[in-house]
Amino acid sequence: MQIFSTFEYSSYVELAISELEEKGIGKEDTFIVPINNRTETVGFLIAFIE
Amino acid sequence: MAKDVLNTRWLLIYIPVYIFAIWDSYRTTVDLNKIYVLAERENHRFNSFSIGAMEINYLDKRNPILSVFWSVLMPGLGQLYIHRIIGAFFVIIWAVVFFYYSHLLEGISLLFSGKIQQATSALDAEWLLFFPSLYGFAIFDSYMNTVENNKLVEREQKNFFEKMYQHPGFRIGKGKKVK
Repeated sequence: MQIFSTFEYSSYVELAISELEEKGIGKEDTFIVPINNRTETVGFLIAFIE
Repeated sequence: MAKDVLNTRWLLIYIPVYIFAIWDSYRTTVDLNKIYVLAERENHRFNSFSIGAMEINYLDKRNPILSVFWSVLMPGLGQLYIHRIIGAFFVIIWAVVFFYYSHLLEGISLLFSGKIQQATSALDAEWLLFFPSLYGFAIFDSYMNTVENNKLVEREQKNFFEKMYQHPGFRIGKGKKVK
């Protein structure tokens, strides 16, 4: 199963991803794309494969 | 009247000091702007964490409105909020000196007890006049640095994610959409 989700910037995003890594979802199963508007990063699209 | 209060023992020192300050700050700003553009284009690295004898400092998202709020409450606290402690203590120490010699706090106390004449005569105008620039600097500096730090924070997380979580083997599977 794949999960797609978008998040605003937050240090909690990093915490959540490292929590998932602890539970066995590795770095190669997570893909993160920064979402930019013209000048700045507004958030991240994150895809997980379980 | 204004001419009478000038002290010629100090007066001339202002000429070189002012000219140098204006020239050097202009020159440095232009230089820094060039370096900024280059550093951003090559995505140059920057520190996001440091532990030293003075402080433990790290990049973190902070609220610019809170910086302004703390600076208005007491100049220097905005800098303290974003962990710029040297700037914070510089501003706090001078604020205390200016509060003390201007008798501003006494004036406010007297004003609240309705003694308006006494409040006015308690003030020392020479010291009081330092406050607009002190408050102006404290508020602007903490607000501006909070906004700029936040940009660095976002860039840092973006770089980290791009480096760590863009494995070339990652494939998006075709399949059914689940709710």
